Amino acid sequence: MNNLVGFLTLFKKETDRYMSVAIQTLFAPLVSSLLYLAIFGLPMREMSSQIVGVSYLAFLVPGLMMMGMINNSFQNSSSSLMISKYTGTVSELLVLPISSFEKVMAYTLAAMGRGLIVGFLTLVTAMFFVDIPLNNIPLIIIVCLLVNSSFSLLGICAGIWAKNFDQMAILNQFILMPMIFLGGVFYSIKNLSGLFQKLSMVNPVLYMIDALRYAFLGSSDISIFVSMSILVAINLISFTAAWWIFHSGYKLQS
Amino acid sequence: MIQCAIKSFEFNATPQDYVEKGLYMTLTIKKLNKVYGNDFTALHEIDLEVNEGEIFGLLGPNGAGKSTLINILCGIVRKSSGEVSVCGFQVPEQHIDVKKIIGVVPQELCADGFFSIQQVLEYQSGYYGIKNNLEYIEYLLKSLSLYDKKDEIARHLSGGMKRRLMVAKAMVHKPKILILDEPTAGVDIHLTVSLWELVKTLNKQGTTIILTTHNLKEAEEICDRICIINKGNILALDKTENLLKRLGDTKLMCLFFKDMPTNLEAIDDFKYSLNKNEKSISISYSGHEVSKVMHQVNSLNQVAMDLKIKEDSLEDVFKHLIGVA
Ligand SMILES: Nc1ncnc2c1ncn2[C@@H]1O[C@H](COP(=O)(O)OP(=O)(O)OP(=O)(O)O)[C@@H](O)[C@H]1O
Ligand SMILES: [Mg+2]
Repeated sequence: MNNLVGFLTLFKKETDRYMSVAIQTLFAPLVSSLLYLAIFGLPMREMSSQIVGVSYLAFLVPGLMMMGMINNSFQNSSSSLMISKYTGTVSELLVLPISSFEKVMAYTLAAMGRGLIVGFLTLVTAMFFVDIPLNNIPLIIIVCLLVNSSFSLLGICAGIWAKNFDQMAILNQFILMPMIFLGGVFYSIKNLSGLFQKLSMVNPVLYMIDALRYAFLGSSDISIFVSMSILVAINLISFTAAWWIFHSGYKLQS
Repeated sequence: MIQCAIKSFEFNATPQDYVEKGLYMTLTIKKLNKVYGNDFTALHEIDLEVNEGEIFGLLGPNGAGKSTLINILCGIVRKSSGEVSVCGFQVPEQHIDVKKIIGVVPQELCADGFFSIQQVLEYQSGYYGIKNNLEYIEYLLKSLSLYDKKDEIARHLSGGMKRRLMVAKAMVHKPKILILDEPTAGVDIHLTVSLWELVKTLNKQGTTIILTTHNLKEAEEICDRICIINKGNILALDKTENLLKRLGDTKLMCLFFKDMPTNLEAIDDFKYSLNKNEKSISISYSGHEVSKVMHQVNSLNQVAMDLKIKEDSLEDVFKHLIGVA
């Protein structure tokens, strides 16, 4: 960090940005998580211990947390960059005496902040209604950090790659959303038939949700070592990509 | 002048010549080329130097390549080939050091949609490593007549105010080199004057200024040196007064009479033309012949009702060079 104050300022600006519209960026996602909890959770109460030996609601909560964190960390960095493309302020990013590494870190940490707040609020609110075991708290924290950082980084890549809000919407609706929903937020892949189970295995979100479930519940479908390795790998790849994008001036410099 | 305590930068890569002031040009450009896409040459073999402390004007018609040149300096555009160095730092290799030294007002209007002017300027100071800059921000806001709008969201400002906010942003870290790409576009006459006053004040305090404008009167008044470019080539690069002398030092005196004089042989030493309808005589003379021309006009023995003098302006030089005269 050569320009620590510059980096902290950029981080603070990005944080202030989502805080200034907190209703939309923090509370709306919380409400939608709780709605899912109500819609899917309440009618299926009886199904309880059929899934990994805990109540369905306790099974559902880590999934919903994960959905909120992925959506919001991704949303934060990608929409921040999209908006600054739209207002023209994105070229200012090129002019500032802040290194590519510092820029990536500032955007990532700010977006992680939003994802973590949404995840935390979802958990705390859910705990009023559901009895959730907190099996391995350090692991819960580590998984949350890694998931948020990977999607914050991917959000940077997407925000710079997308030419317009249409392309962004396509990314969100046709790639991110299916990945989250098919990644086992609401069900265990053990309940899927052979073909769908195999298809699900190429979805990285599956491993993330599974790792978080393991951290909460103490048991899951996939080995935690496999899940963690995949999480770390995704972080490395997406960090390299985001850094390269700023460093090379991809799509920003002409 | 307001004294402000601003933490100055510590440059990591301090070239020795940066310490021994004056050993380098503030800006040196050698054989700079820019090709957009595969085949559009926006800058062709540009060579120029800007000295420390001068006000340097970059003029040329739309599409000449002015913004391209400026954007290469500040990192928005990549050069295709050639050498660019700012205070001894290479572009783009030492771009972070370069960016700390310069402040730039881009041509494209842009404004943040989330924050107030005051916040925008505080963030801007932070980006340059300055923690507490409130006093100087207040000074800039007042100088640019934005003080009473300081709590307004930047995006809600009028066009001219946005431009002035961009000027304030570029100045917030007291850059050694201030680059202004059409800073007065859309700014009203009154505020244009105060903007140039501010620029001159900063220049007197040692800031090097590089500017572009389509207002040639402005450029003529403010610039020490001027570079005229067209289609990516330098057409002229000289001190402003030398550039004005290029077309010769001739002036035109236009005299209006109540009754047309008859003894025109009195001014035979000069070239003149008559306009019988307007009852006027236009006499061309060069700068050093003022008293002679006055003397001869006196001997016409007619009362002149009015007098106009037309000098060559930068506009004439410009038209001549660009070829639209
Ligand atoms: N990003 C770009 N991609 C392709 N061509 C470009 C790009 N930016 C500028 N050009 C072209 O380069 C040429 C020079 O543009 P530039 O913006 O430097 O002109 P300028 O001198 O600043 O003009 P103006 O007075 O209108 O601001 C123009 O013909 C323009 O179309
Ligand atoms: Mg321009």
